[in-house]
Amino acid sequence: MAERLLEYFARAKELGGILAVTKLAMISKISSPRAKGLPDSPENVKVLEDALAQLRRELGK
Amino acid sequence: MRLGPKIISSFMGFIVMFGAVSTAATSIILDRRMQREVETSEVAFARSLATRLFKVVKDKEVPTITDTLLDELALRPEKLEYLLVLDATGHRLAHTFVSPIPERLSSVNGPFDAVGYRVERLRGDSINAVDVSVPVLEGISPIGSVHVGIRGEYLEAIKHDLVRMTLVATGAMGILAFLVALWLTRRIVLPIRQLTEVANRLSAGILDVQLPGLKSKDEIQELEGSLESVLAAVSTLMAELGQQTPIAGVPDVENAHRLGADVVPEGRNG
Amino acid sequence: MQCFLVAGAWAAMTATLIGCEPSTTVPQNRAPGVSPFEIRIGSSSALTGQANFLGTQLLHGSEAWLNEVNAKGGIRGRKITIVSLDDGYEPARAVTMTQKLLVEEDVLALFDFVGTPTSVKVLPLVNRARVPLLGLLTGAEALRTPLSPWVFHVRDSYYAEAEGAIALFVDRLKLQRIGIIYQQDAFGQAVLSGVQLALARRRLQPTAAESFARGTLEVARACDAMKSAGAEAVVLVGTYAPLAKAVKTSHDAGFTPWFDTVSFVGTEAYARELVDKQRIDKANYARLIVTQVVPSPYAEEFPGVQEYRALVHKYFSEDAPNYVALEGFINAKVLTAILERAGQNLDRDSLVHAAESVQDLDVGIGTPITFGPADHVGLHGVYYSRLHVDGTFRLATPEEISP
Repeated sequence: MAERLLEYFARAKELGGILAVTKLAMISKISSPRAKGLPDSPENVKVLEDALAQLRRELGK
Repeated sequence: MRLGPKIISSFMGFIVMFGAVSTAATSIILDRRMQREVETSEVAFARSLATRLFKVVKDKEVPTITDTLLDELALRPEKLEYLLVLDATGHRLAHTFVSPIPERLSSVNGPFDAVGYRVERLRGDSINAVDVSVPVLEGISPIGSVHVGIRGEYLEAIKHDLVRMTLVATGAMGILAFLVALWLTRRIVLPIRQLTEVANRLSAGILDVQLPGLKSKDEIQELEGSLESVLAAVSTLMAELGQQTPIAGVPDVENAHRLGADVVPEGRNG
Repeated sequence: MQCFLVAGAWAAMTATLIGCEPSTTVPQNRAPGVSPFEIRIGSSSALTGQANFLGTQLLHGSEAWLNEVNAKGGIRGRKITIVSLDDGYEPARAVTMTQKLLVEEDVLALFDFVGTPTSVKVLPLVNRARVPLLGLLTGAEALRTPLSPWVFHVRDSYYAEAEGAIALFVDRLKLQRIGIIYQQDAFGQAVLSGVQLALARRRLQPTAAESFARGTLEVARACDAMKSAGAEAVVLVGTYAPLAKAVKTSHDAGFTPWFDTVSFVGTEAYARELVDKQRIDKANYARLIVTQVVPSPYAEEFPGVQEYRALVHKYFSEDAPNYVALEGFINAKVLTAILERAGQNLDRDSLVHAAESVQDLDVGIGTPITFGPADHVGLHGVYYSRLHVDGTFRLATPEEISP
């Protein structure tokens, strides 16, 4: 159900470990435990996509 | 004091202070206006009476003077307390009294100032009036004086009515202010209270909280957004840490304690 | 801190409001005119001038009774003092005299005022001062309607006297042409109105109505007008001197209608003017009528009238009995009855309440006196008196009066 959403958390972890995952949750306002229960709707995917893009910018990657 | 009562009492306090200042200012301004009103209209009336009575004052025709004074008094009984005519030596020629004349009036006869009239407040000893007096002149020589007594109650009633109206207006504004404050309380204080509750639960380590979902499009909604971010971050961190191997040598329970969870470590009895 | 500020502000506003309340003057503690041993009553009347007979005789009649009451200890130990001032039947002087009584003489009530123009002029002062006024020698409607809470009349009204005169002339004597000569003042207007109303009730109007200047004897023009109009009866309104002159002038011109006047004329003085000064022909005496509001001062059948004669003889032996003095005597009896009813706590208000509670007071004249909250006229009833051959006016019934 939330495979795509969880992928974003995994990518964040690859980018910066726990801190990056935490940061992704902060930016998107979606925690990873909560993401597990959300559907992979286009809206939810977009939120995490945008959050990840912002994370990359902040990390300079 | 809580935020709600603080807002309400601030509003009410402002209105009450405003009302008090307005009332005091109105009272002071009215006092001055009354004084000016007396000095302009009643001095004019006294002068007109002095002109009309000149001949009969000179001839000391007491019944005719009395007749005129009583007729004038009958025209404005609510405003005039008395009318009095003195001769050149200050003795009473005619008056409109129907009961013993107050002692205080025996001393209201003195030289007129440069503007040609005197205004004197008389209070006490069964009289409450403003005495306006002008000379009766034969050329430049006074042959008597006309005294117009304006009822103190008349002047005070006008001021009283206006001050009372100010107070009523203040009261109405106070009620309005109270209602506005009440409305503001609901719009601001309630959401803040809800978010405070969330923050308190968060600070107690309880992550299972529901945000109110505000739609006010203001700073409070922004605050809610920030709280939501923090909540998401903390939840994620807790989840990640829970998955990771605990820090070597540090029991799980200590790791959890660092996040503020309400856990009693093994071996440490309270 | 905020609570204190709010409370302080409310206190300031309340204090301002209280400070703005119109203050009231403090009422006097003692009732005016009343002390443990005295009750002071003020009178302003015609003691000099054209109506001096009325003022002096009214007071003599009152004082005859009051002296007797005082000799027996007064009212509850308080002697009654009449403070009497002279207004000369002049309205302006009546005002200044009344002011003097109220402001300087410390009187409880006013009493025995004489005349319509004087009493009408004084009425606003009476109402403003809230002082009782009893026993006025006038029947003017202006002093009765609207009702003043402070004024009490013993005698009946001029309207009643006018109705009596017109009833005699029109209903009894079947006359139709009624004229009126009146003095130009409130008194004249008052009786004129009464005559007009009485005639209107019979679908008649005055055949002629003429006035003369108050205080003068200029009645010739008015008499000519009555003669020209063919009046069968003429109502005369004024003081005794000009009225007697009017009768004489008419008779000299061969004009001998019925003449009537109201009780205010001073019947005995009128008789003396007619008989002694104007020397009216005795043949015409019988057509000279005066309406009265009290019985004859010579009546034998009324104990009150006998008492009047006895006391007037005791205290004013030079006075002959007369209608005006009898009226003053009755006024004084009513006054003392009211003072007695008012009780020990006597003041102006209790005096008024006592007056309004008088029911069927018997003063010995055959007709009781009653007042009420809506009725401040004590006596109702009109008598007729006719000039007798002996030169005095004697009471006569309508049946005794014939053409």
